[in-house]
Amino acid sequence: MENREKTTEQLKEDLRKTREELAIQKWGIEKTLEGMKVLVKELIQKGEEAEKAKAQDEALLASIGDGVIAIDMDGRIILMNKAAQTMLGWHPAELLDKSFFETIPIEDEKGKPVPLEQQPISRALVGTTTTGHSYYYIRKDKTKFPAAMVATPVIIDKKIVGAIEVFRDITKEKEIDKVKTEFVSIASHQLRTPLIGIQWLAELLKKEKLTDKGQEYLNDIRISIQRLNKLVELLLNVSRLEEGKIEISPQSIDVVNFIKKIVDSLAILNSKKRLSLTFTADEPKIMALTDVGALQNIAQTILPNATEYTPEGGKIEVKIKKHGRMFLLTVSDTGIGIPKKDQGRMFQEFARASNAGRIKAAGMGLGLWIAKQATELLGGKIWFESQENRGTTFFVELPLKSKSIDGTKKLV
Amino acid sequence: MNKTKIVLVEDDEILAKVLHEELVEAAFEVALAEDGEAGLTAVRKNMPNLVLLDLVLPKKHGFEVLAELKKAPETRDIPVIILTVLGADEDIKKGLELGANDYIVKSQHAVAEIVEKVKDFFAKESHPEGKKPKVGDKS
Amino acid sequence: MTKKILLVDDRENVRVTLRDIFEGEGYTVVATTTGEEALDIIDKEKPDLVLLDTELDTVVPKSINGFEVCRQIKQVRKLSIKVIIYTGTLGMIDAVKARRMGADDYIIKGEDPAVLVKAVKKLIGDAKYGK
Repeated sequence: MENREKTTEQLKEDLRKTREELAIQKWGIEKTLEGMKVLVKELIQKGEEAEKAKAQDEALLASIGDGVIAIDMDGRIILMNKAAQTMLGWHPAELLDKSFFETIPIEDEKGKPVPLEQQPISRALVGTTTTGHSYYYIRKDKTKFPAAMVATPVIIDKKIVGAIEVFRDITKEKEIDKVKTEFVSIASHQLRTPLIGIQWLAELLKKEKLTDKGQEYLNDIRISIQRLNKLVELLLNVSRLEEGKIEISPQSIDVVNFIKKIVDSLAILNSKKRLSLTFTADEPKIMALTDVGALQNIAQTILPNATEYTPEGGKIEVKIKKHGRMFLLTVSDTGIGIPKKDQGRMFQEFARASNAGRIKAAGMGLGLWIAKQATELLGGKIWFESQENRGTTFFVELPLKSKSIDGTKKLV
Repeated sequence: MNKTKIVLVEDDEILAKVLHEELVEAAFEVALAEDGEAGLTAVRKNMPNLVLLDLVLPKKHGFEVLAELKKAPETRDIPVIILTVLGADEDIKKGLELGANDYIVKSQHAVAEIVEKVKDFFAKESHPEGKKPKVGDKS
Repeated sequence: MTKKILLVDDRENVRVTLRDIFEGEGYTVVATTTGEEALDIIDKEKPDLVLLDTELDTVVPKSINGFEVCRQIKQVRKLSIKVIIYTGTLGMIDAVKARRMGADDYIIKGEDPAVLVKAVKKLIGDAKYGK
């Protein structure tokens, strides 16, 4: 009944309001639809990009020559690339979701299984990036191969969620290394025979009647022979150290006397360079149970080094101190020092400081490496402090009683 | 007077020459062989009072020669001193196990020292020390 | 003289991004963090267009939202400035409400700001006067 009483004006107003409302709703729907189109388009794009990225990652993974394995926090294998498959002889389908530690055994060089906590990938799971070079993987068919591995944790939002390991079959590298070491060993052997010949002939020559000049030349020949001998011994020691199995048989010696003898042998060279040398020991005699060959290799590197790398008029201080169960040999010089950038690698094989060439044109860079190996075999520590152009101090700390080690070769 | 006979088996001609000359100068009679097989022949032919045996030899390695000498009854009792270049412990051990009487490390001794060592060896031989005294004359 | 846009968004990274985009297109950009600030300076700045985010209360809680700013501009002060209300990818679909508040456009923008630029140009044309 009320409706009929509405005027035309009122009805027109109602209509207008309804139309307005409809227009607003229509606008609303249009805007919403437009918005949704935008969002959907973006979603599709993101999906495609993700697909593409995923495909790229897979292609990358497949093309990497190194093996890649990823495990989750429980040690289950979640990813294994083609290279890993091939190297290990498994199919990923066989391994996905299985425990890495149960299915892929790792052994050390002696054939003993490597304990879980020491395996690179487990250490990565607890947050340490690790490398391992002397481990062997056991294939599905139970054969094994040496591998170089690097494992890192996978961190998302500051939490470790798994670990990834990249590894490489280094059978070839190990072969090459072995051949190299054997070669050095054989070469040093071969070099010895003619060296002995020259030495003996020089010895016989001495007995013959020679002119004064002749005698002088003969002496020079003998000095050259000594140098050659030293180099050959150096190479020999390197190859023996690389092969491992060095025997350490400690003998009781007076280290003060031992070092003093070496210092004295450098006296001529030192006086030629006008180097002042002081030798102090806090006790006149210090008895130690140590391997003579090893101690020789240490002292015969750092003492001559001080002389060689200190320019004329410089100073060398040699000190021997006993403390506790150890004795400390200190050799300081005012020589050319070792530049900071080289300090980190001085104990590596073939390492020479960048400024070494200034004072000694050629050197093999083996002395410190051998000295370090020998020090460690005796159970000691070797380190240095140095400032370029100011000087260097070498510290060798050795036990008064070195343990004997079984081996097949001794250091010469 | 019979001189003491030595068979020297050494393949390096320089080392052989020097040792030969010095040993002859020390009044020994020295027969030279430059490889393992020639060495065996020389010992069997000469039946010396001592064999100086280098280890690394062509045709037959010193250890093989040593083993064969010690196996055959005729040559078993001839003393052998092995000569090594480096004095590698494994070599010395093996040599002594195979029956060598002693060893000399070439790189560690002057020629004169080696000749002395040989002389000393014969001096010990003539004083019985659990070894059969040699009847050979020394000059 | 270039056309002026008043941008109101409480998120700094959005203000920085949109400022870069629109200044790149040649517009002059004035930006505020809250709706209240915007309403305060609107008479002084006299923008040609106001760009409003729907939610303006994360940095300053309880501050007025975009819809209210729009209503103030369009229906209370009855200014003739163009107003676009926008929302991000996860914004609520409230286009109708925007229309009721008098907005000239309502944009559900994804990550691509080109959508907003297009909408602005449609309403006030290019940056330079004389179109």
